[in-house]
Formats: sequence, structure tokens, C-alpha cells
Amino acid sequence: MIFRNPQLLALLLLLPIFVVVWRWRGMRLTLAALALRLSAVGLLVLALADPTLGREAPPPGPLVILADQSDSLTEEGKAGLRAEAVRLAQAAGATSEGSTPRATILWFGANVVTSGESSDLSALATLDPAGSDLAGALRTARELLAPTGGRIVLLSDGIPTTDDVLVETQRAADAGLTVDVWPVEPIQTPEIRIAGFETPRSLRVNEDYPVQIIVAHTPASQSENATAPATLRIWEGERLLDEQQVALAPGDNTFSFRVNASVPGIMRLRAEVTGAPDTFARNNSAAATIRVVPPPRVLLVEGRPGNGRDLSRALQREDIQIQSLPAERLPTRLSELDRFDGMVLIDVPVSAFSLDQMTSVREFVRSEGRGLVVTGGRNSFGLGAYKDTPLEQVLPVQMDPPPRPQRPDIALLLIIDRSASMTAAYGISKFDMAKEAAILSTETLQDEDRIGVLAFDTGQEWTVPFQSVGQGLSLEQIQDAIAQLPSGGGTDIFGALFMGLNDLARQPSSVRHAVLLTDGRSFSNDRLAYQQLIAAARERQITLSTIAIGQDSDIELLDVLAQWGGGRYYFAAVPADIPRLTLLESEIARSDPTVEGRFNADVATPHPLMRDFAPSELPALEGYVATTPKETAEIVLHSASEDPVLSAWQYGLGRAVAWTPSVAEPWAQAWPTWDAYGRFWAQMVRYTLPESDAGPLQVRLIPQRDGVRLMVDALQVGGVPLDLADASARVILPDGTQRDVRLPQVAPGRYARDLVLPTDGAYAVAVALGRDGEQYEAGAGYVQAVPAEYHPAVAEGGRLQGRALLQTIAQMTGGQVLGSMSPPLPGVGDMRDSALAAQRFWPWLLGAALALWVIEIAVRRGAFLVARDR
Amino acid sequence: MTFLVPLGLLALLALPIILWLHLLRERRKRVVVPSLLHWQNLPRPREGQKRRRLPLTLLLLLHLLAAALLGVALAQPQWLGGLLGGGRHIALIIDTSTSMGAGDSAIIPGQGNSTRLDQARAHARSVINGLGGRDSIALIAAGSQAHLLATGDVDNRASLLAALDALQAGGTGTDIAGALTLAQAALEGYRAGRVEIVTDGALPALSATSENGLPETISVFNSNANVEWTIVGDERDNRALVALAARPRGGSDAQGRTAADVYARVANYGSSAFATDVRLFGDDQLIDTRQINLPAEGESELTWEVPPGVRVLRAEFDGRDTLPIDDQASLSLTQTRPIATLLVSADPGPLERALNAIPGTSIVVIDPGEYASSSLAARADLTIFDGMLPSRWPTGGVLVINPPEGNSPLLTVGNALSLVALERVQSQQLAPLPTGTSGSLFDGLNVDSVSFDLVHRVEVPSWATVQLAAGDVPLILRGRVNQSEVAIWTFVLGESNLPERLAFPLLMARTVRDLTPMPLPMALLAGEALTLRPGQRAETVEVLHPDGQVQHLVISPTLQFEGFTQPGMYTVTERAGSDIIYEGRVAVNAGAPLESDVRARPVPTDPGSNPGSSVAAAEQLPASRERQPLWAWFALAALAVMVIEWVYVHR
Repeated sequence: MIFRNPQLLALLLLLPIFVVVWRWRGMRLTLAALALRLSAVGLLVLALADPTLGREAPPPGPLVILADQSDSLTEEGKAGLRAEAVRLAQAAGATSEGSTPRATILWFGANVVTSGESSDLSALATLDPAGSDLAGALRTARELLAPTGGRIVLLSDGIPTTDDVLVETQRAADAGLTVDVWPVEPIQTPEIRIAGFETPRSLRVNEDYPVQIIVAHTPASQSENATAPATLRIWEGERLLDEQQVALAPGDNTFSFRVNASVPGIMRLRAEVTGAPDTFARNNSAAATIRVVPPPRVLLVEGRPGNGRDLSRALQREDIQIQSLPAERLPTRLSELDRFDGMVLIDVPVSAFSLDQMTSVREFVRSEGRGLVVTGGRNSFGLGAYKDTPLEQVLPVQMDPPPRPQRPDIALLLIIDRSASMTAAYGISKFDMAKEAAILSTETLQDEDRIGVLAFDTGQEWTVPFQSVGQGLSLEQIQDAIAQLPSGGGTDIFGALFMGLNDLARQPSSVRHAVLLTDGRSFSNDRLAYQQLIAAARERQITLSTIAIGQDSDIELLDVLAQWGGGRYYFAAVPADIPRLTLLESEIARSDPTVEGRFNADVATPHPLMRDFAPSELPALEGYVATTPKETAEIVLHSASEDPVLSAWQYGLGRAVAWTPSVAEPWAQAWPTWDAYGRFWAQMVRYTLPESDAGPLQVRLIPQRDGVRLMVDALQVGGVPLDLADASARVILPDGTQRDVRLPQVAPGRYARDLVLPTDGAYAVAVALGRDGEQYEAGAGYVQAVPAEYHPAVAEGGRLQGRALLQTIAQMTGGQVLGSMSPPLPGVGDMRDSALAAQRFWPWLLGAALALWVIEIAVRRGAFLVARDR
Repeated sequence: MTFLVPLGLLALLALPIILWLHLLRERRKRVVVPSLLHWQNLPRPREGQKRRRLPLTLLLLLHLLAAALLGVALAQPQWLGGLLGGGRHIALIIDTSTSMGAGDSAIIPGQGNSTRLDQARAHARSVINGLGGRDSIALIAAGSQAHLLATGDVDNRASLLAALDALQAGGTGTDIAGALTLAQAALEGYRAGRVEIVTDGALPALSATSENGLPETISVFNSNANVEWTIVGDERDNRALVALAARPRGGSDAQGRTAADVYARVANYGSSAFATDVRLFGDDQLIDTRQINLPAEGESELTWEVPPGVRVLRAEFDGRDTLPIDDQASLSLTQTRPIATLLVSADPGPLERALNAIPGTSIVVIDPGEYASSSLAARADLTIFDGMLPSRWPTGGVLVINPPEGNSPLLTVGNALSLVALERVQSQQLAPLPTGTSGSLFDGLNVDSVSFDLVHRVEVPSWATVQLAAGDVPLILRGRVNQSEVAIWTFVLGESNLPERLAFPLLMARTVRDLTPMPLPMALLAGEALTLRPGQRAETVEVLHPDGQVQHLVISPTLQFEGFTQPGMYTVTERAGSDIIYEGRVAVNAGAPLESDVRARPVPTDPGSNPGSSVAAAEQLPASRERQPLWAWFALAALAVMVIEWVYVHR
């Protein structure tokens, strides 16, 4: 109990005056009259002192009542909260003194409004109920109370649709304001809404893809289990794509539609469900955007003309644009490769590339984030001398074959042209370099390996007959014999091959390889005889590589001989190349990376590269180039001996894939006729391609409090900003209308503008940026989502639950939780808390004083005496 | 006058009772006396008159008056100001944005040349000085945020004028909508309320749509206010540096410093061309001077490449115009905030590589067995536990990867389960969940081909939310426990291909950024709010203003500071006791198209109210608050009557 006007208790000093006057004037009135008068005056003075009973006295300063009027409360709930807010304001107003306003009601939804000077609630017509800006309401209340202090009562379900609620709460606490909260339990209303619309981020033109629509059905009561009929429609832009009659079970219902991307750009999709019973119409639709990109452009680099023909056709059938190119014409400048999204190397040997070209391939992947697929064959990976080159760096495999339990022994035959043309007029001759090459080759061999050196012109002479390196002649003697090899006359390649290969076939080694070095043209050019000779050798597991020395050599013949021989063809433009190439061949022969034999690849790990393919579907393979996976490579397919067959990895910004068999012959002959050949390879190539939104322009739409910020970052290769350009954007609204806006530059390489999007739905933005005659274009999609107010699951999922949030607000500010209520019905709610309606006794005291006054008059008039006397 | 409890008037029924009592002949106490001789000559009342004649005496009147006063008091009478002719109730909104600091030709007596704010202040002063006895006023400042400065009446004139004098022009944008809401709230219940806005008209676009038909700002009008506009300021040209921004270049020098590309835009808001020199300073050393020719109503753009090592960049020109503060702009280029990272791992390889790529991160690796005794634990901004859990969460950012199985007080971790079998089915369903403020963690990250082969099933603590899940198996959790920002990766990193994915360094960088204090921006627009997430060990945060004033902020996990209204270089200092744990600078610039274009604007008009819910007009707010409760006065009067009556009876 407290007295609101304790100073008025001084008026009790009047009581003795009454007694003194009574006695002084001779006690004319009865003692009862005196007692009644004293009682009446005492009660009157007590009433004036205004005794109040309550848990605590209201603090000084006014009260701000924040009343939630967001749609999630339903119309009935909102009306109930209005009634409660008004009642609270009346109760607070009843305690006020003087002209100081005691209670202000702020109504909040997505905005905050107040009634101003009008006495009705017409101001609520300006309130946007599609949100719960709790932070904004708290901010406005804090500002209102800043000069005077005071307190806040918050009536809400505590499910805000804006962030910063706790930040604003902390500010209120810092300002010394207490926030009492009055949680309102949300009520369940029947609802049909689109809870999810799942689409891919991007599609290629003509790509067919399923999209999923999740429709949530909430019955009027939890016990209700009836299905609700509904109609589900999906639009692309303004075109109706499909319509389904569906039955919605309580909970989430998933439906699937297929969409086909036909035109490059931003595809705007809208899904809509109509059914009953339903409460909110605004959450009956959802939108999505899909970036539809043109078919990828892929550069197919062929090691030999035509060896990528089957693959090229298959990929084109899968909507991949292919440009085929011989290896030697591969651009060395990245800017020339910029128009390609990826690259496929079809059995290309390193010798076909310059160092600059290989570096370009590496940077194409590492720095530009493009894709690379390298396929096997007799000229690639280890067989193509990728070791220690930029190509090895970019690939997920190392060129060294995995260590084997038993190393094969090798028989290496060097067939060296000693014709007169091999001796140069000036400087070191080709013949000297060939001898040097032969000597170097011997150094790569081990004791159990065998070597033979056959020199030829029009005749043949065994400079070093076949023998083990560690037996017979010592290595020095062999090298001396080679060094003393004399030059001769004409050139008879066939004769040399005939003698050499026949002798090689008799060697007991498990690997038999011949290398032919010549600079001339053979007087015998019977291709059929060559083919038969080499075919016979191949049957005996002999391989043949050829090195053409100089432009005068019979390049065509040597190339075809290498093909028939299952080996490699090299061209040595200058004599100095001869030792390197010969050494390379001897090292390849020594390492023996070729694995031949029919096998079926096994899946090593589930991987997107094998999506929708079972291992048993894959046709058999007949060989591959053995490699060793790098530490961070992902092995997708492997051989029976667990060598990588298909492997992938992330290299810098791009992805690289290694396919160690061939794409067709010689190790995948059945593949081109496989009906899924194109799909398999298209999936592999697409896996390596960069995200479709990569490019010099990056367009982003960043949600802001009052709209979105359209931000375009324009960076050239190497991160150099594209400054001082003219940038503009065309915005396509959900209704299909278009708006053009200019984008001013705001920072190096950045152009931006703030926009307010008028309606929910899918927006497409096309940005054009021009500078110095060059035009850059990019696009982006954006979905202005249905407000979270209409998606209770979303609102509840990511944030504190309503009641917990309100409790936190009260706790942070030293306020109280005033009690929980269901949404009260208009007019039937009542004050439930004495803290706000502290009980005041003055009316009772005043009434008692009046009653005593009348009784005193009656006593003095003798009314009671009359009754008694009678 | 109205009655709050009209039922109280029932107490007036006492009046007829008193009348009835007075109609009764007064009965005296019967006393036995020896003789009636002396009373024989007294006049005797006639028969039949004793109940009909009302003795209209002063006593009766006093009795009736006291009862009437008490009865009326019980009905709780109130005066309504409006009925008395009332006073004026004014909500005065004063635009305090940067453009109000523009000089003006108007002369204010005693002050000479003035700014627009001076004119607004003079107008407001005249309104305050003209307040009558019943008038009241609410003073509202509308800068980038609206503030209620003071409310009061004629008795509060001094405090109102003091609040007015303290106003300063500064800040970009004028929150007219917020100011109108405050004004309406301040006027709630007053019948004769009026809102007056004093502005130079440099306001956000008030129309619903811009010239291209796409809305660029919201309507400021969210209520049906009775608004009067007072426009101050005259036609003046102005030129301003409206954009200055930098972007670090890739690569760094031997000291790890990077060069930067710089962009600046100078705008001419005037009808005549203008030529001037733009000077660029790096750490107060002149770097470059460029001459620009600004066409009328035109702009000029400039770019530079600034060498590594420059900490503060400033561009300026001599605009010779009405608003000099927007003729320069600054940037603080060294905004990287050092992150002391403690990596507790037996196999730190991939983690250490990813952390090394994050600018400003210094890493110390220790074995899990050494953690308990490590002195570094208390100093780390970020602690990463790989395959272990501490006994309590360390202060600061905490990332737990591959938490060990068991029931710890911190976390309940179940068996590791393999997701390989589920991979083919679920890889397409692997999707980030909405996470509120941390939603940007996965923006643009492609996790489609990431396989999380071995995952611990972690019981999600109450303080954490799931940010990434495969089916119902949580993969990434995030939450806050006391002074620890905690993220948990439930998978075994070594069994996942995530470290080989392009997404890994990005995910790691974003996680580190999410768990550790925010770096300051290079620059802010005047009036723009700054969200600060100070270090967890910080006990105080101070903001040193350009004028030397120091402002202490109450520490909390996230601070929003709105005091950057004046241009200049501000210093933000975080302290733990007497130790400075972070000190950074942020530049605040005044130049912005909205404020720097100080040419006269038309008076805005209300485009109409927003559609909203319809409310029955029958619903009424509480009665007008412009009232004076009178019951106490009635009660006092009744008391006075009682005293008088007592004296009268005993005269």
C-alpha cells in the first residue's frame, strides 16, 4: 500500500480542530455526531492521499504500448489485441495525473503507425500487415520515451520478420527502458501454401530438368486428417506450362514438373496452388529463376586428325558446341581461349605442343577456371611424355606407372639411319646426334635389359647385337661401338625394319620396343609390305616408335609406321632434338606404362561423374595408360589392378579429368557404338565446365531492408577493374513489363543501384556494360519472396521461438512477462495483471465518507431517535 | 467536462435522502423536566405542516453541497482541454541532414550569414517563444534517423531551446517517415495537433516511382498526418565528391601489403561548368593532382592505382561552393583485422593451408595433448579443435571439426556413420538451410559434389541451429554460448573430399569471418549506422570522434553505432582492462547525391496512404488524453464545506 499524494495526509490535522470547536462551543452536538464527522473527514483526507495497492508503483514517465497487427495473428487475433491494447491504455490512463499523456499505442506490422490526433483506429488503414517489424516498433518506442523515460508493453506473438530485434532490445535496455511483454500464442488456422519451389540454379539450352514444388497443407485442427483438393499450376513468365488437380494430405506434399530450357537468359517460373480451406492467399504462389545458358563451347584438340571425330559427333548430339583443332594450332594466348568453356585433349603427345601451348592449357584451367578432359591413347599421359610438363601439373594423375611387384625386362632396339644425308656439312651432324642419342638410351637401361643397335643405309649392320646390358659387352663397350658407327650411303627403311624387328622378336624380354631414327626417304615404299611386317611384329608384342629427322624425312610414312606399331611418332626439327626424343622413348619403354587386356572398370567412389550410370552398363575396355593418382585426386573408376581409369580433381579455379583409356580405338573400340556414349562423355565434359555465371560481369541482387541493391562487379582477366564504363540494366518484372535503369559506378569495377521491387515474384535482370567499344553482358534472376509473415515455418525455423524471444526481451530490459493469452476475442478480454491496474482505494474511501456524512445528518436530525422512540 | 465513471453519479442519490431528513421535523432527545411553564409561550407548529415545508436553511444548503461535491467526485469528472478552447499542440520536425548545413543568403539578426539549419532553428525558436499557457510542443530531429528531442510546454521553454541549440547538421538522408510516426505518436490524443516540417526539401524521393517506373524508395507517408511544410534555403550551386572507394589489387609486396585501385566521382549540382584540381593524398602526402572540367549538371570520374603501404587515402578539391564539407572524402585502407588462430590438431595439413590463405590470420598449431597447458588458449581470437573437445568453450570463436564420440558437458556426440551409401540419393538433396544472419555462408558455394563420407551424429544443442544437413544428419551447426561463437563441423574432414573442393577455402574463410570480430569498413556515409561485432575478450569499446570527443559503447555481442554524423576519421578501440586488443579507423564522408544537391525542391505532397487492413470505425481509442482529473478538487471542496458547516453549527 502506498499513498500517491502522501502530502495531503497533513489535512488530518483538521481533526483536532473539529474536536476543539466542538468542546469550545459547549459540545452542542452529540458525541456520535462528532465521531461520524471525524470519521467522514478522515476518510476524505485518506481518499485525497490516494492509497494504492499493487505489486509496484508505476514508474514515472509515460507508457508506450506496442500492439502487433501482423497478418500471422489472423483478423480475429488482431482485433483481440487491439481491444487489449486499448484496455491497457485506458487502465494506464486511469492512473495518470495532470495533462501528461500516459499511454501511447503504436501499432506495428511491416511498418509502425500511430493514431495521431484521431480518436478512432482509422490510422490502421495505413499499416502494412505483411510483416512484423518488432525492431522498428521498439526503436520508435525508444525514441518516443527518450526525453522522459518510461516503459513499454509489447503485445505480440514474438515472431518478427526483421532482424535486429535483440539489438534494439539492448538499446532500449541501455536507455533505461523496461519492456514488459505479453506473449500471444499463435492459433492454428487452415492453410494451403507453397512451402518450397526447388529448381536448379542453371540449365543449358534444351536441357530438360524436373522441378519440385512442396505444398504444405495445415488443417483447421491438428486432429483433422482430411485431404484437401487443390489445383497446382506452373508458369514460365506469363505462359502456363502445366496444371494438375491434386489432393493435399496434411503436412508437406511434393509434386514434380519438368521444365525445358529453350531460350538462353533468365527463366522466370511461378507456381501457384489454389484450394480450400485456406487463410492467406498471398502464400499460395512461389517463384524461382533459372539461368539458362547457351550450349557450352568446348575445344577438341586432336593428337591426330580425325581421332576425335566420334567423340565430337557424340558431344554435339548432347548440345555441346565443339570446335576441333589439331594440337599444333592450339592458341598460346589465353585471350584466344577465352571463348571456350572447356577443352578435351584426344590422345595428344607433348611433342605436339610447344611449352607456351602447354602453359596456356594449364592456366586455362588454373587461372581461368575452365574445364579440361585429357584422354588416353598411345600418345598421351606417360606415353605422350607428359612427365614433368605443365600437362602433368594440371592433371589429377602423375605419369609414373604405379610400382609393380615385378619389373618387366626390356628389349630396346635402336634402328639408326647412317645414310650420307645424316652427316651435315656444318657443325654437329644428325648422325652424330643420333649416335649420342643411342648412347644416352643405354644409360636408362638396367642390367637385365637388352639392347640392340642396328645401323642401316641400303644395307644393315648390327653395331651392337642384342645383348643384356649387364652381360657381354660392358656399357662402355656398347657406347664405344655406337660412337664408332660409320656413315654410309642410301636409305632402305624396310630392310632395316625387317632385320631389326625379326631379331627383336626373338628376344626373351617381356617388353620389346623398337625406335627408328631416319632423315630420309626409303627407296622401298610398299605400304602393304610395311603394314604386314609391323602387324606381324605387333602380334609378337613388339611396339615401334619413329623419329623423323628434318623436313626431308618421309614424315607421312614414319607417322603411319608408328601408328601401326603401337608406338609414337616424333618429329625432330633440329638435330639437337634427337637425343631428347630417343631418351624419351627409351624411358617410356623402360617404364612400360601401357596396360593392355580386356577389363571392366570398377567404380571406386560415388561421384557426380557417374550419376545415372551403373558400372555394369559401361562397355569393356581393352587397355589404358598406367598412371599414379595424385594425393588429392578423386578416383572415380579404376582397373582391376586399381590403376586410375577415370579420375578428377580441382586444379586452381578449374577442374581437370583424366581418362586413361582411349575414347575409341585402340582401347575403347566398343564405346562409340554404345548408346549412352554421348551422354557419358557429355556428363564428363560438363562436370569440368565452370559455373555458368562466371565471366567478367558478376551480377548480384542483395536484399536490403527496403528493397534490393543491384550490384555489378566488372573485372577483367587478372582482376583488373573495368572502370568508367556505361552500365545499364533492364529489369523484367513478374508481370512481364520491363524497366531500364542506369547503373552508376560506385567503386573500382563496381556499379550499383538500389531498387524497390513492387511485388512478390520472379525478376530477371539483364546488365549491359560498354567501354571502349567493347560490350559485356550478364544477367541474374531474383525472387522477391512472399513475406515470411505468411510462412510460419520459415519464421519459426531460423529464429528464436516467439515466446522465447519475448522472454529474452523482458529479461534483457528488466521487464516482466505479463502472462500468456490466446488471441482474445474482442470485448471479452480483461485485465489480467495487477501491475498495470494497481488497485486504487480513493473511490471507496470517498463513498464511505459520503455515507458517513448522510448518517451524521440523520443522527443530528434525530432520525434514529424517532425510530427508537416509536 | 466529462465523467470517467458516470455510474458514480448514483452517489447523488444522497441528496434526496438529505432533503428527506431535513423535511422531517427535527427530533430532540426527550428529557424529563419538573415544569413546562417556561416553554408555554413558544410558537407551536401547525398540524399538517411538519412534513411539507422545507426549511431552506444555510445548513441544508451546506449539507446538500457537501454531498453533491462528493457524489460528483465519485463520478471522476475531468476537464477536456478542447472544450475549453484548448491550446495548440505542435510536433515540429526539423531536417538535420547534411544539406541543412549549406550556407544561405538569409541573414539572421545577431548571427550574420546563416546556414539552413540556423534558419530552421530560428523558426523553431519563434514557435517555442510563442507558446501559450495551454500549448505544447514536441521537437523532432529528422536526420538519417528520427529522434524525439524534447517535449514540453511553456514551462519547459528553457529545455526546449537547449535541445534546439544542440542540433547539428549531419547525416545522409532524412527519415521523414520515422519523424512523422514520432510526431503522430507525440500528438496522440490531442485534438488540435499539428505537424510542421522545417526542411530544405533535400529529401528521399517522395513519389512512389521514379522516372523509369521502378520504385526506388518507399513512400515516406505512412499515416494521414496533418502536415505543414516550411522550406528553408535558397537556390545555390554545389559541387561534391560523391564517391571515393578502393579495391585491393591481387598480389602483395614483400611486407604483405597490397596495392589498390581507387575510384572517385565528382558531381556538379549547378547550372554552370566548373574546372578544378582534384588532389589525392596518401597518408597526407600528395600522390597525384588531376584537373577536371565539370560540365553543368555533370559529373567527372577518376581512377588511380595506389601503391602498397598507404594507410589513409584522401581526395579533395576546391569546390568554392555552399557546402564545403562534401568537397573531400577519405578512406582507411588497412581494414584487415588480425585473427590470432590456435589450431589444435594432430594432422593440421589441409586446415592450415586454408587458414593461411585468409588475410590477417596468424596460426599457431599445437597438438591436442598440449591444449590444456597452452598459454595461447586465452589469447586466441579463434580456436579450431580438430578431433577433440575442450573441457569448456574458450572465449572467442570456436570451430570444432570431427568432434570425438562421447557425452561431454559441451556436446553429445554419437557414433560415426558412413554417408557413402546414401550419397547417390542424397547428394542432390544436400542443401543449406536458412540460417538468418548467417545465410551468406553458402551463397554461391557449390557443395553438390562434396561427399561427407564419415559423419558423427551430434545431438543438436539448444543454443545451436543446423546450417547444413544431409537428410536428418546435421553437418554444420552454429550457435553462441556465453562469450563463445561456436561452429561445429560434424564430419571427418580427412574422409571427405571437401578439402579438395574449390568450396573449401571459401567455406573456411566465411566460417572464420563469421566466428571472429568484424573488420571495419573503409568508409561510411555520414549518418550511416555501423554494425560492430567486437572481440569476445573486449570489455569496452570506445569511439574517438574527429573532434576529440570519446564515446564509450556498452559492450554486447553486436553493437550498432549511429553516431557517425559528422565527416572525418573516427577511431574505434576495443580494450580488455588497460590492454588495447584492437584499434581501427573508419572514414566518414559527407558527399552523397541526396545531400550534396542543395538546389531548391518542391514541397512534397502526400501520394496517398498505403492500403492496409480495414478497421471498423466503431473501435475507439482511449478517451482524449488532454484532460484534467477533477475528483480531488471536488473532494477538497467537500472537505472545506464540512469545515464551514461545523463552524456554522457551532457559531
